[in-house]
Amino acid sequence: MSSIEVTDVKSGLKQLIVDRLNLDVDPASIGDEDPLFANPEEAGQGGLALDSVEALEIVVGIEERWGVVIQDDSMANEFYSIESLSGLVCRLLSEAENAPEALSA
Amino acid sequence: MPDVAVSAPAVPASEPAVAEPPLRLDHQAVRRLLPHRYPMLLVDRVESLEPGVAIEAIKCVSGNEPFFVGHFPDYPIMPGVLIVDALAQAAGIMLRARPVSAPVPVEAEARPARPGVLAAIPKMRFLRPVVPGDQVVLRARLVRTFGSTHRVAVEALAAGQRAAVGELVLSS
Repeated sequence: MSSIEVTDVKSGLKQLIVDRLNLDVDPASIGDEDPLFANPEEAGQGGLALDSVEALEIVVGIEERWGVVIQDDSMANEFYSIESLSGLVCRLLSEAENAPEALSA
Repeated sequence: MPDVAVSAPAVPASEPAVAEPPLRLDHQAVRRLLPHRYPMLLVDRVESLEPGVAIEAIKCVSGNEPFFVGHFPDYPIMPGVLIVDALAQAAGIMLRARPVSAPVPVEAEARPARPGVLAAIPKMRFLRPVVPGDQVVLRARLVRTFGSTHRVAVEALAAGQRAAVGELVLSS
């Protein structure tokens, strides 16, 4: 019954990342499992190799676009790929959907 | 970044502990919070500081500033990048200072003595020149922190008018 479509969130995230970071890539070319951020231990494994400044830009973009609040400790686990990020966004959206009273209280 | 306690003026006992008044810092206190020294220390004093939230600081621009020697000999204006650095320094004070009532975090001792360094200048506009004799008001307000990256909205005023306005990202 949820109005949140994971595929919409994924494509929205890809578009948001490309737009806000002025990346010269086709949003559709970003794989759901591609690592988004630079990791010295995985050098040369592809992905966008984004940095912490770009992570902050994505956080602000997600919060503006979906009206959610991302906790400061999300970095390690959920800022990995489109797959994990979309999971975070969907979880935050469903929490907001299921607890509207808590928001207005 | 290490937390540095700043001394506040005496607070009346009736003041609730949660609402500390904005702090004022003299030049000696500024030097304790920033590693910058001449000719790169670009904050003279802090008029109003809410640690981790917002700051209003002052930079007095004299005709004797070293950068006026070459920028420019016949037309002295403060380099825009130095206005940006003055704003970044003010933002660094805002980020480094902690409320007087806050306990010293245990990990503060172990962290390296590193100031907030500029990581990005996402937005900046220069609206009027800063010239000898100007008292520049440096304002910074924390927009968002994520991990050790901090986005800060800033503006610099000269003669009551906006000289620069934009956003900075500092990394700690």
